[in-house]
Amino acid sequence: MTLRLKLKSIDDVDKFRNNLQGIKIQFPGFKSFTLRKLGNEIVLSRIHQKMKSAGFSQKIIDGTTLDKIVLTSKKFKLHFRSEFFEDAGFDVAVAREEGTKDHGIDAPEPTSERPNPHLMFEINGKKIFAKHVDDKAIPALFIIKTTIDETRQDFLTAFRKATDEWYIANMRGLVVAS
Amino acid sequence: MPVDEPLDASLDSQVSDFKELDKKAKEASKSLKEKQKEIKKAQKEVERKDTKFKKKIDRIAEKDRVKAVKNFGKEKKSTILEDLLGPRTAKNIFNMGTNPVGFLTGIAKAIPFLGGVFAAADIAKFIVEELEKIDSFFKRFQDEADRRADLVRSRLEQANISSGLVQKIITTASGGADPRTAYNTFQIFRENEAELEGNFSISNNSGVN
Repeated sequence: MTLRLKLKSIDDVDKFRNNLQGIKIQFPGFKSFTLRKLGNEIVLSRIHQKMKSAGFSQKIIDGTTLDKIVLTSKKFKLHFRSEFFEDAGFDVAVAREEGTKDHGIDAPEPTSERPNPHLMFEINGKKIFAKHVDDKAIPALFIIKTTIDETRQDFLTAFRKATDEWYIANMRGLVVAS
Repeated sequence: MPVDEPLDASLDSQVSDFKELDKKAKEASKSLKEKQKEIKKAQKEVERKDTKFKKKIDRIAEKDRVKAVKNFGKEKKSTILEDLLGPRTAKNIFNMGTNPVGFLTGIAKAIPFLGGVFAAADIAKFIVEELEKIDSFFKRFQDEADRRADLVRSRLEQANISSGLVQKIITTASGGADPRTAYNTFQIFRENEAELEGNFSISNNSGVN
């Protein structure tokens, strides 16, 4: 969309300057609101869809959000965050995104309170205890990273379109799309 | 550490752009206002010349009226203007005499290079200069122009028309708001020529070029 300025008289130039003052004041608010709205609609919703398709648990999906937006005078940065900690303190969200290697899990060292510690697993309703378990690797899916790359252009196009429409609305007839 | 993936890009518009735009608009507004002042000044100059010219025409018209009364009934001769330009062009010059600014604006519009190259202020200045140039040309023909005007309108009528008090419609069509007072101008001309000549200084010059 190309914007074209329509100034028919000197009064229009003065009106244009007044409208520009309004735009200058509202611009930071508009940017943060629009970036969050479009970030949620275009990028985050796509990440959630992909996670669902890949069989991620709802807790991981709910833990994936558009976190902070950093705005400088020339750039913006949207942070997409994903985290879900198990009771043991293991971040499953990171494991699903970045994957894990084959690894072993050992039972904690004996203490006076827990002199005989064991790992406990529940498989098909049966409780299984072990001192050591070998765990297979989780493949890295990089859903968040790839989705950001895929939707980046759509997001930027939508943001530019929204910004142009906002200019047209705030210029009150002095700017038209061509 | 949780997953933290950024999406970053440059902004197309920045507040500094708006400041620059505002600065440009301010300069444009200032420049345009100066130009507007120049145009108004030039327009006033045109109006001043116009008023001066109309006064001249009025004075000569008064002289002509006296002359016309003296020469009433004598043989009608073609005028200098008609000899030079022919009756149709002479009529156009007459229009120029009654509304020189409008006439010259028409000239300015008709000359193609003016619209493209000159700004409005330059056109106004051009009109003033041209008005001055043709002033001497006018002096040769304004007697004729005013005489022709006086043939169809008395001075009182002219004043009333120009001030918008009276609307004068000259038509050959018969009829009117009240059918009983409907008349045909041709019929009146044929039947009561003497009265018309007396009231409106109209003489039958249909046989004259």
